[in-house]
Amino acid sequence: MPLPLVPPPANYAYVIEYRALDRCFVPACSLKSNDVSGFARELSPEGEPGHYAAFGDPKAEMFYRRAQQLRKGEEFSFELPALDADSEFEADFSAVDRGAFEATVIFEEMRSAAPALSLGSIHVHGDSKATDEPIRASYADPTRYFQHLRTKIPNRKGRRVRVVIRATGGPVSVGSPLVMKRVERPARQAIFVVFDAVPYPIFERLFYEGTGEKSTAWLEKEVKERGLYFSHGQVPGMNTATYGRRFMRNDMYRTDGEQALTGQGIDESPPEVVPTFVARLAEQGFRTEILSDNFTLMPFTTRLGNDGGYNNEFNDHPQRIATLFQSWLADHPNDDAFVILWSARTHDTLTNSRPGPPLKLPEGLPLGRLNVSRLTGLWWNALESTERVEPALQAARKLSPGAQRLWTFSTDHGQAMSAWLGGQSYRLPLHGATTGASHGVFGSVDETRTPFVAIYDGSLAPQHGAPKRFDEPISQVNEWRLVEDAFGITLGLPDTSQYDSSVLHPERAASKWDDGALFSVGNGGALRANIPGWVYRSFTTNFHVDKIWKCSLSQQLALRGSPRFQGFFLAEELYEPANDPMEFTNVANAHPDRVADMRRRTSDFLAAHSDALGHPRYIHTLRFPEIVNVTITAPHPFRARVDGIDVPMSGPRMVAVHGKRVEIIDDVDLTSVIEVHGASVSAPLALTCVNGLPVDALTPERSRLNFAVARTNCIEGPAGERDVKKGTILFSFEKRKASQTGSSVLPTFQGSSGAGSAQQNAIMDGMKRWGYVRDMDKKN
Amino acid sequence: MLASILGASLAGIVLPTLLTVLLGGQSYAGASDDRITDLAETTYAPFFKHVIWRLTQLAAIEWAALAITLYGTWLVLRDTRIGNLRPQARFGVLVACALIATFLAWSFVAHLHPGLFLASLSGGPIPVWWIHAAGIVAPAMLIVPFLGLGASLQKAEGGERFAAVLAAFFVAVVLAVIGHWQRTSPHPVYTLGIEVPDMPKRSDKAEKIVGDLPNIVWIAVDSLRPDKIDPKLTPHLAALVSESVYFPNALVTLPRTGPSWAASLTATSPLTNGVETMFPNKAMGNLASFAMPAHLSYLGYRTAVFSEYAGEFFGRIKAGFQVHAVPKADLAEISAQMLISRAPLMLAHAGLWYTWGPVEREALGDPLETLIRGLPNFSYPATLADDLSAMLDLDEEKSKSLPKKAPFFALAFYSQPHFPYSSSAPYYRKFHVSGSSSALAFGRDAASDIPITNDADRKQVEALYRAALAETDDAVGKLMKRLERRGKLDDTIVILTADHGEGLYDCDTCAGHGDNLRGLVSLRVPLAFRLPEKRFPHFKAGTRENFVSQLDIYPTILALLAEPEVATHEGIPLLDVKGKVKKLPERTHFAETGEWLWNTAWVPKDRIDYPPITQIATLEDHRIVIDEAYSGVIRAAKYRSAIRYPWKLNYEPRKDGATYALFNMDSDPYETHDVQNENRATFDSLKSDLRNYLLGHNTLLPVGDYFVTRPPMPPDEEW
Repeated sequence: MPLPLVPPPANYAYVIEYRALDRCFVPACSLKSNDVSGFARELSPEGEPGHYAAFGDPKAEMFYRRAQQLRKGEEFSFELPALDADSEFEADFSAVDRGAFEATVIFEEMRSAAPALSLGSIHVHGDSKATDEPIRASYADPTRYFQHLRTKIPNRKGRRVRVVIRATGGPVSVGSPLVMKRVERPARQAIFVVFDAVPYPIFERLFYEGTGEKSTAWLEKEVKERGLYFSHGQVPGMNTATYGRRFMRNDMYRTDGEQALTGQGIDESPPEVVPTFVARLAEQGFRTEILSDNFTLMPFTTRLGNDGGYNNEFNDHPQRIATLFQSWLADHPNDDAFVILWSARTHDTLTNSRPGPPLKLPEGLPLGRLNVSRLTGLWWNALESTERVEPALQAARKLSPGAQRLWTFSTDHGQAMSAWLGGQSYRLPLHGATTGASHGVFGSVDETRTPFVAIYDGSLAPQHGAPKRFDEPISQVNEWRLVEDAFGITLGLPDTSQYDSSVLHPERAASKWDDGALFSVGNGGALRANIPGWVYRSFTTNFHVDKIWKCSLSQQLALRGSPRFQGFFLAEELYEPANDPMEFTNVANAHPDRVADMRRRTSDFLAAHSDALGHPRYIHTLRFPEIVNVTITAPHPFRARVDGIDVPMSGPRMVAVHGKRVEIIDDVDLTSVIEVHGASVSAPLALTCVNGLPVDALTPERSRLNFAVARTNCIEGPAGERDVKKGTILFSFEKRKASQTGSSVLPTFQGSSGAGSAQQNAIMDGMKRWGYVRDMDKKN
Repeated sequence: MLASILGASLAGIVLPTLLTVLLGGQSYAGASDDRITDLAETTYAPFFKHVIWRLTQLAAIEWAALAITLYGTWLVLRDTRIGNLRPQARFGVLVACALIATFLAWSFVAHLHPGLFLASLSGGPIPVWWIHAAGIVAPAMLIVPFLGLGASLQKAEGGERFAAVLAAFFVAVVLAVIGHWQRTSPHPVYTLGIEVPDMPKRSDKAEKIVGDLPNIVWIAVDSLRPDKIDPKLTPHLAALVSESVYFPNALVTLPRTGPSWAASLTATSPLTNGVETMFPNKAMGNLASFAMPAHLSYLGYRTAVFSEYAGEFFGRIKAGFQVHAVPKADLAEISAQMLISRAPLMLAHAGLWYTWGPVEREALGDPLETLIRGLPNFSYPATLADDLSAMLDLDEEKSKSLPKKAPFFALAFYSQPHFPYSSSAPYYRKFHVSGSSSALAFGRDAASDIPITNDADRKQVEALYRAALAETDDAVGKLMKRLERRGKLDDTIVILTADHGEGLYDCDTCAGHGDNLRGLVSLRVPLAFRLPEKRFPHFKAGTRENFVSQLDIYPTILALLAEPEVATHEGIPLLDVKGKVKKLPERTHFAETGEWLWNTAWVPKDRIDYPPITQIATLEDHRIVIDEAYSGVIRAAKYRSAIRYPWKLNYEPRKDGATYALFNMDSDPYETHDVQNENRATFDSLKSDLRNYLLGHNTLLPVGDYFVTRPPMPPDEEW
């Protein structure tokens, strides 16, 4: 199908030159209350940056913007260097709590030997409505609270300009103060539309196979004309929280300073660099906004690096969010921007679902085994949510036709489609054994298969052969690769197959770390791994979640591991998707070696990605029986020494080795798994502890050595000068001292704090409200 | 003269105590003197002060007793030439007499309970001879002071007569008070710890069914082998099994006390429940959400556990026992036991009071009672019957949080047949083998280096075991009688079993338990269920030869109580709700070795090596645990077995390769001939069973023929 004509690119755009409140991450922007939504209403006595202006009620709607709060007479100022291009100042002013506010924005020329010269000023005033008087009719109207100001900054050619914001009335919040710079190219805009918890057959219909409904036909048309359709997308997490953590930041397991886990016992010290892709975009001049529903997102959204956002908890939120997006875009048509439009209408059937047409699912699904009534409700909600986005898309085309715009449509996870799966027991680590989960704990295809699409819009030239359909499994984090490719930027994505799928970039297949499978992470240690032909699910035995005699039969099994084990595999399941696409039949017992292989792959994956912050750093020593010529690669940068001499790396994660004794030295990350290639390695070579226990082996089929396994089984300490047996690699390890190798500074660790009960209660209330937990109060 | 007697008797207490403290051993249970001294002065200073205060009180009593004895002796001596000696010489004679009296008293207690001083009694034939003789000599020598006092009462006048009357009166009062206590006092609750707050609350259901459930008494004898139950030598145990459904071929999963109990109480194997060594950490030792005692507590039972030294494990796990009388083996207690062991007079005194009776045991007080209860070489099994009585007598005040009028579940775990197999007089003399090493006269610590070189020594080890078993058998008889006398026996399910068997030098490496899996000596235990007729009228006693498992006990109890099965259990119910034996399927059972504590003759020489327990143990809140860094290699290095009688497959990961071997237990009980080549199908089948069993636990990763430990999964909070 021929692509429609691409409009001519616009000849200018505005990008963020200076973000006055640049840092918002724990603890600089930590939760100040027990409310999970994470807002601080208190006026900070020091007036330091990093707080929010927030209006509304977490149970209804809420606006929030990073803000500097000023008492009457206080000033907030910053200097701008000389600049040839035009620039603009922008901020959203509001009261700190409610009521009237006023401020003056002053532009001054900075002079070295004379007082600053005033270049002009603007008086801003307004009235923020009370937050406890929400008026539904006026939902999604930021003018109830904020006075938006966008104004040209006086010419900065050859002179430094200072911007002074002075509170001239009562306390005032200066929300998201930004300096925008004009650049001579089209604007870059990425809009991620997320429908929460959509089962994959519904997306198959919406994206590609057609719903038969006029109101949603636009989406299928857009995909088929200028889009990419990934029918077998897979989420990195199985529910919103696990997805949010893994999709938004560049690691599968790191928890340092993790927003969603604040107060839950993690290391809350902030990493040096905010580890989110939103922050990477913000650093590169994108303004960042999230307009969403679903309260569980709020800890993320307030800390991901967004300039501001909006949350609406009512059922009509798809429409509200789309409307708000349009009004927002009208104010920022040519800005580089990253916006998330998140609708949770599809998370549940909810009340007041707008009745729609009969459910249409792709051919071949076993309708008799599906929960059709629930799917029908979700279907209606998905249709409505889709319908509401079209005006936003059309508005964008009208408001900024020449911008380069990338739309993606996806979901954060699926949900159980059959009563059989949904009725199974599961466990939440914080809340005991419960029943009736829809997602987060099974590792099922229902939860983790998430088709997604990308649409090249405006003046953005289609890429990757669009329009095109991809049926290979691909992690949904590759949406960020699409953004990189679309705008020619980099977002610091990990150099592994999980984050850089060969589906998009086969040319990079050889150079990146192969994770060995596609992985999704769920609650309570649930893990899913896919390789061609097989699906593996792994669970964690946890007898302490609840008293076993109080649990139902299937709950008892879940505490032991798999909720449906049969035979000897207690905490693992295996499926053959080719014969059993909905994964009804666990075939683990019939394929024990395959399960063992998947367990090994999972161990390698965890060695590469699992949180390493709390571990010491090590020097791993490999002693070969004879001199070898090998190349060693790892998932993360490392250092190496051969026969006692430091050797230069041949790449950031690679070293060429010629010698008998190789030391692999952890750098910032643990080097817990390596790959060894080289003609002089005559396989098999068993990696052996000093006490003779083999812990891994290089074979023709396996070129990896898992140091995490080796460290778990070998005894720490030097190997001494003992002989190395033929056919073995002698392994030893010692803790690395900071003084050794002169490498980068070792990470420091801080203690963690326990979760506050009030916060837990707030989380629980929210989870109940959203149907994550349905029968928490039910007596077993 | 009084001052001389008091001074001499004080010297009789202080001098030997000082001497033994100064010359005491350099280490105890792996803890060095320096470490103990350091701890005594720092971390455990308050605890040690308490212990020393109690020992001082004991010393004061001893002083009074010795002074009276010395006074009586002096009354005899003064009429001899000694009476005419100069005062300094007379004092010297009195000190000598005090020391002799002290030595005689200590010898007498050592004769009664040699386990208290086992380390000191393995020095050669003369000490052995003397300890045997002391049983007669020491009481006989008591005649001397009594003669003196008696004569003085008749002949003396004035102050001397008054002193003699006072001494006699003092002795009479003490004996009268003790006698009165014994007659009138209920069984004291001195040792019973009550842990209600942490226990699961009773279910609503429990209120309704209290009174509808039978009591359960689980009698377990450490290291009890079924082939050692004998109507002649162990009449009470033999009687018990004859009244029961008896499975003489029950297998344990890990022949070490702690992991074995964790398996029995949870009906899950060590790989599943996480207790794979004797020293699990706090998290691993928390079994309260899936252990039988907690389950029974939920159903409305009062749950209790009683034991001596081998039961210290119950103090380190949480299994749901509300009432407990078990020793502690944390570093503080071990250190204090070392302190007491270095003061043999105090130890003798405390041991005497501990074994005298329940009232005296109560008078001994805490922490001495608990410390004596936990001495690793000493046992007095009759204590457990007193513990049971004490639990039944718990008054309302002390048990107000416990179910009232509830059925009870009591676990009485007898330590004595565990090595060093020490027993009290006269048991240890009954089976003594002449010609055996004097070092084996009173006990045999399987962890020590005393070589067993000849048949006499081997027979003596078994004799020690039999003596310990005989004493335990009497104690079990006492407990059963106590139940009967209290009217409980006819509504009580009685279970008999053991935590593991015991190698008694049946073969060259068949010694102790848990270090290797040779034969079935350490794996096979008796399992008997004696059901009360009034509740189970269809119950028929009898012996079943089927190979069953310790994992079957908990499911069987649930079946007898008509409670639903628990899906996580790896055992099966052996009896139905009526008490009839169910049809039992043929099963493959799995077993594994424990952690190797240190190298002994029966620890495999070519095993995957790791440091001894003294180097891999660490402290977690004062509790001794194995450092987590070693749990991986300990798990990977274990020898394992798959057993489907008569076949036994052994998996042995060694330095130079992992091996499998197949043995026929009928024709080759001590595994001298690997028959895998002649029985390929059986070999393959058992190997597959074992591999699948191990693969089924995702804590393991196969590496060639080995199974190594997988790194822990990311913690739950990282979702």
